[in-house]
Amino acid sequence: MTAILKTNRRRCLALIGAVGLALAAPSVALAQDGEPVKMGLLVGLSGDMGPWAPALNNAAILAVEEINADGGILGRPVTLIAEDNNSTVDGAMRGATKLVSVDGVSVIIGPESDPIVALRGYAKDNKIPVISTSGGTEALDDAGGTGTYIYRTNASDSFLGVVHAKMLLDEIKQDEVVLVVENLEGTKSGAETFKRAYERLGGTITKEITLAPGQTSYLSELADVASAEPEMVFLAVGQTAGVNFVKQAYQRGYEWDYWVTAELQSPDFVNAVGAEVAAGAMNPVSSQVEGAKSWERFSDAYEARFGEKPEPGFYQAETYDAFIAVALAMEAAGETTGEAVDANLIKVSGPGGKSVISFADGVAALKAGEEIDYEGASGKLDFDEHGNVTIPATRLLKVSEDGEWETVTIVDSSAFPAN
Amino acid sequence: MEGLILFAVSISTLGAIYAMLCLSLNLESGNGPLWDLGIVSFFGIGAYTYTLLTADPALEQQSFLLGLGLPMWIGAIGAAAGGGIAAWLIGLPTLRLKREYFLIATLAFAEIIRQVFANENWLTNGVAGIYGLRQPFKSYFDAADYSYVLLALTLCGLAFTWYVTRRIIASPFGRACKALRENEPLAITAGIDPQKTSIRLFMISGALSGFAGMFYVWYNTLIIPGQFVADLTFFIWAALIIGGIGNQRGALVGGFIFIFLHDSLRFLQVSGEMAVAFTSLRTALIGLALILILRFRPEGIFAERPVRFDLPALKREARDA
Repeated sequence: MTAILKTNRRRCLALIGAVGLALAAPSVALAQDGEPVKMGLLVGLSGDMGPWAPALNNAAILAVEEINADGGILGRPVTLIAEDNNSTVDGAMRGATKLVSVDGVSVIIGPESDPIVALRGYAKDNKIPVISTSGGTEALDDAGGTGTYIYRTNASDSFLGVVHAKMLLDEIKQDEVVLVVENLEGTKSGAETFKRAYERLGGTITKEITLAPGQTSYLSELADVASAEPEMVFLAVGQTAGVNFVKQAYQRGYEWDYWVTAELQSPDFVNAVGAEVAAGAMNPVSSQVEGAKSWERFSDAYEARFGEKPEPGFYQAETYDAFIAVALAMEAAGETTGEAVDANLIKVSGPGGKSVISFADGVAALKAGEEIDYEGASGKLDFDEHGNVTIPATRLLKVSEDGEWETVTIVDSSAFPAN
Repeated sequence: MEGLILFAVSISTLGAIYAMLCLSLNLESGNGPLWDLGIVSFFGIGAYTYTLLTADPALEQQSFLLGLGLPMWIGAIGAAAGGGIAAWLIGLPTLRLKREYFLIATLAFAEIIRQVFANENWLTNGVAGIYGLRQPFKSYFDAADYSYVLLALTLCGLAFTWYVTRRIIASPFGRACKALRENEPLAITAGIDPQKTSIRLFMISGALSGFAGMFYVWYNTLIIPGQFVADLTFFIWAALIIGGIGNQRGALVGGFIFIFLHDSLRFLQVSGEMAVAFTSLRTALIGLALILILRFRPEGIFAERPVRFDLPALKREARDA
C-alpha cells in the first residue's frame, strides 16, 4: 500500500502548478503551418525504470525542439507526447494504445526490454514503428528490421557481454573473476552473455554467486565470494543490492576490485557507498569514438539546454538519435506515417550516402536529391537487417579517489566479435 | 473519436480482468471469512499453467517445460484447475490460521510463488519470461479490429465469473461462508464445518483467479514473473474497497473504476518536462480516492446489503404449498 500512497511533497506542489498552467495557458502558437506531426515517447516514468526515464525524456525534448527549430518535418511542427509505461508490460500496452489511438502518433520511441517485447505484435498490427533506446534484451537480437516495425538504437546485451569480456581480458589483463549476479531479468541476461563471451575468449569464472533481490544482508553470499579469494569481482547487480553488497564487503574488510555493469554506473551508487569504498570500480560503457563531431554537438546542445552534460551509459544519445533518424525517414519518404518510417529508417541511417550529423544537414542533403547516412550521437547508427546497431567504441570508466566516474580509455570496439 | 474508443476498449479489457479478480476476492474475503493477501499467486499460476499448456515448444535460447501447443479451451480448464489445486495445497497448512495470521501466511506464499516463477528456469524460463504468445481467434479478424474481439472475450469471461460467484453466494454453501464470516462459533453450532467450508471456498476462488490469469496472458501476449508481484494483490484489494466489499456490484465496478482512475490522467496534456513529475500523481490519485472513500463512504460505492428473509411469508408459503 505504501507504493500507492508514496509521493513527494515538492513534486506534488510542482504538479499542482503544472495542472494550473496546463489549464490556463492555451496551446502555444506554432511557428509552422499544418497539422503537427506527433511522436510518442513511451518510457517507465514510474516504476523500476523511474530513475532513468527523465534522462530519456530530456533527450526527446532536445531532439524535438531541434527539429522544430529547423523548420519541422516536411514543414510541419512536431509535437512530443510522453507517456508512462509504468515499467511494466500491461502499462506498455495501455500507454501504446493511448499514444496511437488517442493521440495519433506515428512512431513510439523508448520502451525498455520487457515493454518492447510485449509490443512486438502491436507494432506490426498497427503499423507503428516501436524503437527501443535502452532495452538490452536478447529477445530483440533477431526480432526486428524493416517490415517488423521493431528497432533498437542501443547495443544488445549479447554484444555488451563481449565488450565486458574483451575489456577485462585485453585492457586490464584480468583472466579470473568471481561473478556475482542479482536475480533480475536485466542483470541475469547481462551476466549470462558476459559469461559466455568471457569463457570463450579464455577467461575463467572461478565462482558464480546469485543474490536474491531485496535482501538487507548478503553476509553468507560474501563469505561464499571470499572463499574463492578473488582479486576482482564482477558485479551484475542493481543499485539497492549493489550498495548493500559493496558496503558489507567493505565492513568485513574484503578489498576486492569491482567490475560493474551499467546498473551501478551512476553517481548515486558512489554517493551511497562512499567515494572511498567505490574508488577503483570500473565499468565499460558504449560510446562514440573519441572526438566524434556528432557526439560533441549533441553533448554541447544537451548541456546548453539542461545545464548538465549527458551522462555516458544513460541512453540519452540513443534516444536523441532515434528521434532524429525517424524525422529524417519521414523527410525522405515525404510522408509521416508509420509505414513510411518503417520503410525508410534503415535507408536514411546508412551505410552509404552522404554522412550527416544533424536533422538540418540531413534535410538539406535530401532536398538536394542525395542519399543520406545519419551518423548518430551514440554511434554510426547503421541498423542491420534485424534492426540492431553495433557500438563504435567503448569507454572504460573508473571511479576516482574523489568519487567521480572518470574515463580511463576509449577503445575501438567496432571490430569486436558480434557475440 | 474512434481513437478514444480504441483506448477505452484497451483499458476496459484490463478493467474487466481486474473486475474478475475483484469478484473472486469478494467471494472469499467479502462474502466469506478468508482474508486473502495472496490472490496474485493463483492469478499467476493460472496464467503460467495456461501458457505452458498452449504455447509452442521452447526455442533454443529458452527453457521452459511443456509448451504443448494444446487448444485454448484445454488451457482455460488447466488455468482454472491450476489455480484451484494451488489453493488446495496452500490452504492445507494455512487455513488452520485465523484472519490476520492467514493474511500474513498468504502474503508469504504469494512471494514464494513469485520466487518460484523467477528461479525455476526449467519450468518458466525464469525472469526472461515467455513471449510471443498467441491470442485467440486472431487470424479470423482484421488486426485493427482485434481489440474489440479481445474485449468481447474478456467480457464473456467476466460474465461467467459474475454468474458463478453470484450463484455460489446465493447458495446454501455461500450462506454457510457468510455465517462463518459473521460468527464462527455460532456457525459451528449450526453444523457448519469451518475447515471443509473454507478450503472449498478457497479452492473455488483460486480457480476463478487462475481463470482470470488466462485473459491476462491474452492481453499482454507475454508472461514474466514481474507481472505477479504483491502490488497487484493490493491493487485488487484497493479496487474492491473502492467498489464496496461484500457487494457483487461493488466488486464489478471497483475493477473498472480503479483502472479508469489510474489512466484518466493520461488525458491531461502537460509540457514535456512536467511529464516526468506528472506520472507520479497517477498512483497518488488512487491513494486519494481510497482515502476519500474510506472517510466518506467506508463501505465503498456499493455498500453490502443485508439479505432479508421474510420469515412469516416463507412460513405461509410453505403452509399453502
